[in-house]
Amino acid sequence: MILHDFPEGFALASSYIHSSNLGILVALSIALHNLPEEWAMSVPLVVLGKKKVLYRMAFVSALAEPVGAIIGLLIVSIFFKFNSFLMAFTAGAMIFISLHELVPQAKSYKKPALFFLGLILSALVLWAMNLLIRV
Amino acid sequence: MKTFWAVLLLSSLSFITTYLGVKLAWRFRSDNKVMASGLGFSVGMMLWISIFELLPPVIADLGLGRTLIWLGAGCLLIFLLDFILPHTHLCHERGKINLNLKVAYLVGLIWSAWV
Repeated sequence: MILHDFPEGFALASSYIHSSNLGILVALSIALHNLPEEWAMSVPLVVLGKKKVLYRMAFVSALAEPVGAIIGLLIVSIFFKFNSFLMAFTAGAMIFISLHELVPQAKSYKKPALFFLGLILSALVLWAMNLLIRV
Repeated sequence: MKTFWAVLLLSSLSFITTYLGVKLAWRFRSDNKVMASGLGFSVGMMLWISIFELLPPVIADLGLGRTLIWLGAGCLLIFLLDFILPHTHLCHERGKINLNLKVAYLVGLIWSAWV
């Protein structure tokens, strides 16, 4: 879980450095993406009834994002020229995590049509946010 | 300094939604339909933001070739960390990876960083 949130923090930092509007768009997208992701990830622990473990893990995972963002900012402030490299790098990491971790999880629910509906919905939401923020 | 606080504030949005996600799991548990569409949304958000928002300015700056190399490097790092770090997968346990394999990956990683 923590592995997921670090690159997201990096992406947020480097995109905000690139342009503040892009940073806001990325932050909103990541925040929206986290909601169903954390929900799905927490269910196994909920079923086991491990409330304490669940909240402790969620806290660490939630903290990984601001920490990742701060580390990202530090890296970019030292090596400003490398911002584009960092953006490409984090994009790769985020794409890989989505496809490698979340898609198999989604497959286990055996509802491919709804999965694709979610994909389309996310594209629409991103498009709407783009109109509002005007990157 | 302004950038620092802005980034911190924006990243705290995810802090809130992470907490809400856990709350929802506790309250409603799991429903296959909601989970499948929710994860579709989650995957889509990451893919579209990476492909359509993050990459175009990078391609404009670095060119397609170098962008793809760094994109691949990002994938590779997570792939390697996935092997090295002890963790559980969401839907299926893969069984224990033996220590030799972990050491081999670690050596490979250090070697590639060195080269």
